[in-house]
Amino acid sequence: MVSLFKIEPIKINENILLNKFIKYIALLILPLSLLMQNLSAQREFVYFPKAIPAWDISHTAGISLAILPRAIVEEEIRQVPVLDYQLRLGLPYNFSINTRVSAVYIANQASIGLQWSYSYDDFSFSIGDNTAYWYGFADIDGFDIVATGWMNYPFISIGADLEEVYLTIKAEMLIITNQNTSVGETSLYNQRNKMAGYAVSFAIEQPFWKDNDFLLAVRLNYATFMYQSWLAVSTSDNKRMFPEFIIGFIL
Amino acid sequence: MSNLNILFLSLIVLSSILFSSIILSSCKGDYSVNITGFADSQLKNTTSLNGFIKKKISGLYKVRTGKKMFGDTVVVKWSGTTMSVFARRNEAYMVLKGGSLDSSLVFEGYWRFAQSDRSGNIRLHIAYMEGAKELLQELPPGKVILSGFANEDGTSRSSISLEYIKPLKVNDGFYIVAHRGGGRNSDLLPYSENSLEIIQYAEILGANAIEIDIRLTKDKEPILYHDDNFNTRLIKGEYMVGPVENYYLYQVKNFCTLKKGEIIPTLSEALEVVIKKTNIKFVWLDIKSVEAARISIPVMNNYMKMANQRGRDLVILVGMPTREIFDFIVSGSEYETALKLCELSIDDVRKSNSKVWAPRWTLGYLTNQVEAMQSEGRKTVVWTLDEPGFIRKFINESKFDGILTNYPTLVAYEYYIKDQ
Repeated sequence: MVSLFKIEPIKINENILLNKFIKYIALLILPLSLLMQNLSAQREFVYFPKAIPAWDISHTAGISLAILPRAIVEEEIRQVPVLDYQLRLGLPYNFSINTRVSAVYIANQASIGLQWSYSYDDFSFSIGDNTAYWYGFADIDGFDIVATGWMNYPFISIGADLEEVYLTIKAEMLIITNQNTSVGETSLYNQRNKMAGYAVSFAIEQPFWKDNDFLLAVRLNYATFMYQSWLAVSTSDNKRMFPEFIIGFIL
Repeated sequence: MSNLNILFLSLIVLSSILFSSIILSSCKGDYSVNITGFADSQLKNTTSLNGFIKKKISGLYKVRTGKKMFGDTVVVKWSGTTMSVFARRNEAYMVLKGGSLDSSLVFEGYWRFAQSDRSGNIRLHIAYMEGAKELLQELPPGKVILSGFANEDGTSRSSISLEYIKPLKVNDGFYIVAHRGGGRNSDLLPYSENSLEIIQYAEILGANAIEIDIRLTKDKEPILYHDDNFNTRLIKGEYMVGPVENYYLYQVKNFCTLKKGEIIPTLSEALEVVIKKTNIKFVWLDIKSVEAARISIPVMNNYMKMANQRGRDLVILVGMPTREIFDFIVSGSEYETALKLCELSIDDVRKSNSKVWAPRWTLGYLTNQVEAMQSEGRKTVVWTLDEPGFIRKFINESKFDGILTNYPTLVAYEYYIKDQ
């Protein structure tokens, strides 16, 4: 049978790719400490759970890369880099609005949410909730399929301002609200409200060059579903690990 | 550093440890289903059931107790000495053996939720006054009630009671095609995908047809194997790594096994088992290369002859999944008589005079094209459909003659419940 994602024959040894990716990240981080200069007192951050002044904006652009579980995609392509943009808008009373857009042609997600922050000295805490809409389509040979869905991500995060580095740990729940899939002339709507799993993120935001800051995050999603794997139409109720690496420049 | 700072820093470190521990400890690299069976099995002292009893027990049942696990109705179907029960809710099914004990009938086995790793033991009885009296005397029973319990992890216990409603409809030629011989390794079945054992298990899972994957070894022997490479997803055996075509058959047979310990079968071994040990009616050879097609078609034709000689109601078809394989088969006059299954367009089906058209399910119902194919005497089978909601919709609303699936239990349920 023609493979699911075999748009073009790409052979990837995922272990080699992952090793290379980790080495690349390490090589990228090491020189950062040398490049750091002109620390600004008004440094910006997106992940760090400290409140930002009302109506100030912090935003980051970069890429994220999720590794899809072998059990779901089997021999097909497991890693697809996704363009990633995140924005945080400060509101009064330590609230802020979070938005995130992740896009890669056949699988796209946009989220918006609210968080409240509390800080003491160099430490900060926040709690919030993001709602996401995802959209995927494939009209290539053998496919006439469109899928959309809503996800909900309640979260808490804590972080430490280590002067040169903002360190953040974030824990989220992944809740599938609903999903609609259309193939040809028929469609299927599932009202799920189902816990898909949870995720833990580790993020570092630190100076990079002149007044520019850099975001590096690893998000460990342990869930039954992640929107980037929608085309596999996996029906498994078993949770799988979907590691996600995020690199961005704070703009 | 103030005490509060120390407290916060400790909180962050502890949270990191806690969250990481939760994720890592709950992560399951490999899920598994372990069926232990009953330590105090009641089947040991039973007498095997005759064909009359099996026939009378087969049917559509109302679930009186146990709806949370199995929904409102279930389908009970026998395959040889095994009784299978198929449900919609939780994509559940049961596999049981039965026998008569004194004045009642007893059944034991396991239940599964097909799309998760939840499973357990199940024991059911038909009591003397609830159908066993007539069944044991080979008289039509006034009623049949299967009652007992199911447990999970050997602990929690749920009552089950099923009441017979009506017999199953006769299959009118609909193909319930089990993917990779019965299902993928990730479906946690008792046997590995593309093994001789799973082929013999396919009917217990509700299938009456199978699809198997064909690749060539270095010495040009067609074997059943799905992936391009030997890898830990499909085999055990560290010596075997990399492309399948780099290894000789003796290496394949001696230096690795499939995940559940089975020997990787050749195409000949698989077709022999299908013909001699099953009632499978339809075999779809998913050919992975032109060379595999060239070698496999004569083997397939020989076994088709054997099946005909034995009076077996069986078709073995060579799949044409790619343009390259299609062009090769269509251009070779020696392949004209081979039964063909085409995954390409309906024009290609006509050009190759294929018996079966098999489009991908993600194209939808394709009703006009399906009807055109059927009007020309061809069959249509859609692949690979696993989503429960779409299985229900395709069976009730589309006109396909079959569904290739990793969940034949679910397709069987939806097929037998349709119009009932």
